[in-house]
Amino acid sequence: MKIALIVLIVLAGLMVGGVFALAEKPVTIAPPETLAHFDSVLSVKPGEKDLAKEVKRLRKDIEKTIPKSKYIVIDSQTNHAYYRSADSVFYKAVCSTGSGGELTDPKSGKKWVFHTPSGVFAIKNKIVEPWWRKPDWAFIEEGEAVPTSNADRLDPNVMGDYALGFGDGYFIHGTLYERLLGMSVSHGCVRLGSDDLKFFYDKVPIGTGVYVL
Amino acid sequence: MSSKSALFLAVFALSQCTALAGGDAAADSLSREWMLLTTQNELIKLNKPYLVLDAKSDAMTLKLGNAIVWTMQEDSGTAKLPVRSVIEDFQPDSTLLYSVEMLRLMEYEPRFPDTLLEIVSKAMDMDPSLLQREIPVAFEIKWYNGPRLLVHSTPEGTPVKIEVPFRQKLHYWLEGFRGVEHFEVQTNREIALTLYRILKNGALTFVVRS
Repeated sequence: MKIALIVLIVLAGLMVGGVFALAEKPVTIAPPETLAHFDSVLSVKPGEKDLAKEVKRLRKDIEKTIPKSKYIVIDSQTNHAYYRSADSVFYKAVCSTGSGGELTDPKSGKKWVFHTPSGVFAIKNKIVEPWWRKPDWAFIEEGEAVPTSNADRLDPNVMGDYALGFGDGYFIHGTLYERLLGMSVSHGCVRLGSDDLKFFYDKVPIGTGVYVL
Repeated sequence: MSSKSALFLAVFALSQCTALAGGDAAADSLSREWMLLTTQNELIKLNKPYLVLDAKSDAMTLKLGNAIVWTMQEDSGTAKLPVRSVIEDFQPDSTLLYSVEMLRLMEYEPRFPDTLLEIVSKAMDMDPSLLQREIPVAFEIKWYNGPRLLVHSTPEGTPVKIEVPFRQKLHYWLEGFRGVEHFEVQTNREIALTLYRILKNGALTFVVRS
């Protein structure tokens, strides 16, 4: 009887997680605010007459968003770049994405955050032997004065043999620091090793979707 | 009333009931499809990664826009996730989107040695923690109104037996009495790392039941 009681107490303790709680502390995550957005969208349901029409329209809209050909995935969580279709991965490369670091201009107070933007993009242009037009932050970071002439901003030696632009000044390009591939060390662009960069330049047509997460 | 008329009336009433029920079922099905498509459309527009548990394809997929980032089953040599059984434990049936309530990192290993991080962080004047990406070797996911999933990462293509500590087994067994089911899956390290980090950042889970 006593043993049964002890077992019962121990089990009750386990039920509330108190006696043998798991060692690692869990991370509690609050429901994201986006859930409220979905509730609000779903609360506006069309009337019975329009429902079939609306379903047809949604099917069409969704169909349009399916990638029709191979696409690039940049996984900034693991620093990998993939060239793939819905069913298969054709190419996988280690890359470097944005560090997430911040820089503030001590004079103007202007702030930069060096992250690779997430979202859906497309390859806009492909460049051979690209030159880097150094933005203001590149000089501020080095403690140098920002030049007034455009010529003083150009650097032909840092972007590798090719660059593939995917919008807003972000590129997939080469690097002088291949040993750092796999680490989040860039200022927002996606860096690749020279062989991988050549593959992407040769195989990826302009217009290809770029999905960055 | 003659027996013939009674029979006729009964058959007529039955056919009307069936037609009404059939009409209701069609309307319900259309309404469910509208909810499913509206949710999917909004997820696509969100431009953030989301997890899809699809009963039809029996797969767990990470998507961004309408593109597949990865499908858990496509990495070979790993234990298959019983997606249909997992889906059954998301309640209520009418809900399509779920969020994660809790993540518990059971075991992890650093991706880069401290010596390398020290050199790089000094050269770049950056906090080494910004450069480090711990690889979650094992972690647990618990969804709001959903099950628990224990994810074990393994070196690619090398299936290993999942070792669950006795204490944890007991915990799961007891939780079963409260209706919380638990599942286990093995996957490669990249998928495990991405899954852990996107869920930590609040990614939603879209449950497609049919």
